[in-house]
Amino acid sequence: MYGNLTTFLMVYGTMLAALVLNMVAPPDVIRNFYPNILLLTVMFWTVRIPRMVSVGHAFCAGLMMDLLLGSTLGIRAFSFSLMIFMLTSAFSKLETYSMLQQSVSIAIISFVGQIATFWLEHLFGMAFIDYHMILSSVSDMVMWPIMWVSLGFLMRFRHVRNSNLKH
Amino acid sequence: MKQQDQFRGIPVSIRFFIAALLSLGLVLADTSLHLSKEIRGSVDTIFSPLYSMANSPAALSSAVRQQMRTRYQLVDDNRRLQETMMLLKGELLKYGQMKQENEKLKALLGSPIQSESRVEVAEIMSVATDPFEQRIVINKGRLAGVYEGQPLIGEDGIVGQITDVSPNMSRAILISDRKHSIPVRNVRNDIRGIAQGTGLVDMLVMDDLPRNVDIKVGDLLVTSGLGGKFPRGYPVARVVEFSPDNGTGFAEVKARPVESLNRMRYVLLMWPSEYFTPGGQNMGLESLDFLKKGVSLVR
Repeated sequence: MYGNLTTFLMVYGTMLAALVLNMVAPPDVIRNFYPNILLLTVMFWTVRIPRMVSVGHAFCAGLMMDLLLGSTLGIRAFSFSLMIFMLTSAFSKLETYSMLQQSVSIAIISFVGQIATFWLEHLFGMAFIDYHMILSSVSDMVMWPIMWVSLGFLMRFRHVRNSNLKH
Repeated sequence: MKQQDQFRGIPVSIRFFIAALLSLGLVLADTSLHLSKEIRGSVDTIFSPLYSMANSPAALSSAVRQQMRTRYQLVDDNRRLQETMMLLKGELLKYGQMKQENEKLKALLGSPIQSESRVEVAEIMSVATDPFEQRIVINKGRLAGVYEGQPLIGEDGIVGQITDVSPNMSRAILISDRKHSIPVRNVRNDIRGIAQGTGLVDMLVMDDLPRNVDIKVGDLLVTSGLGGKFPRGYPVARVVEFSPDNGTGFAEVKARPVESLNRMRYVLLMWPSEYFTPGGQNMGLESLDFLKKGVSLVR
């Protein structure tokens, strides 16, 4: 059997990889459509291993994003926590949905998160609404099945199971 | 939901409540106490391997492209570069003479002479992919003499300014960021104003000008040097839209930055005169572009 170590390595490894992917300068054409890969990774692990990854991890991931983007500390920490809270409370059966339903739910959550980010940026800095907000939710929606399949494959490949975690 | 609530004994709603309180506390602390400056410096140092990792695909592709060039292309490049250099050297001769002349005139007028400034090339390591942030990370830091508030320029004009400095890299805000404003002057008639970022990479606005202001589409806006951060006379943006009435009693001026802010690989760090170290470095070849622009701007 695979122990907790494999799971830990996989979760933090994919989160680190997602963080790096988030920082890669994308080509101009897809710049506006660049999905938030770190967010999707945290969401995936929240859905698949809710015992291990939840609001606390989302908070840390959001704080990382704040630090790396150079924005006011705490803004993305808040919106990431909010999104994962929504995911675990309102969409707790997401795993059983069809892929289309899953993607639409992710888009809704991501859009609410964008609004929360905008709201805080507006209160404590300066921001204004533009269509990028919708675009990035749409790209999150498109990206979700890809993440679901690829991370799911990785998970099956390494036999990571929720039941492996003893708390 | 019931099942999930039992994890580690703390319900997820309470955990979210704690996270929300913590993050709002952080936001307040950051905005009022500015504590993130110190934290960010050390975090950036820890994360610098991550930045180089994120930068590696671009670096690799450019290295491969460099290696795949044929001899013919290299010869062609070399010829083109030599031609450009000859042209620029010609311009430089004119510039030297004009500078002397300018200094004499300024001496006659009794105004202080602006001394030379130093520039250095830096590579962009990472750009923020968030629609709310227009920021970049460059690969020069405190060790290279970078300081907070330092102006950054590109091939065509002003790019932005440095906001955080760590030993080997620094973070900069672009002029198109919503939180950034830059004092500008219209070249045609010396009207001054403040160009503010919009969050869109190809748009700046000036919304503090009276409705009868003399600004036309196509006017070039250059730095006025009034804020004390940016050196005087560098191109910033070109007016693309002017409407005398935007419903608020002020004119609405939209301008497009002359530098294409989303297509840069390299930027120039600039040390204006007071930071210039005598005997340190004279202007490198990469600065010749600016000399050329300087020529066209000296009137």
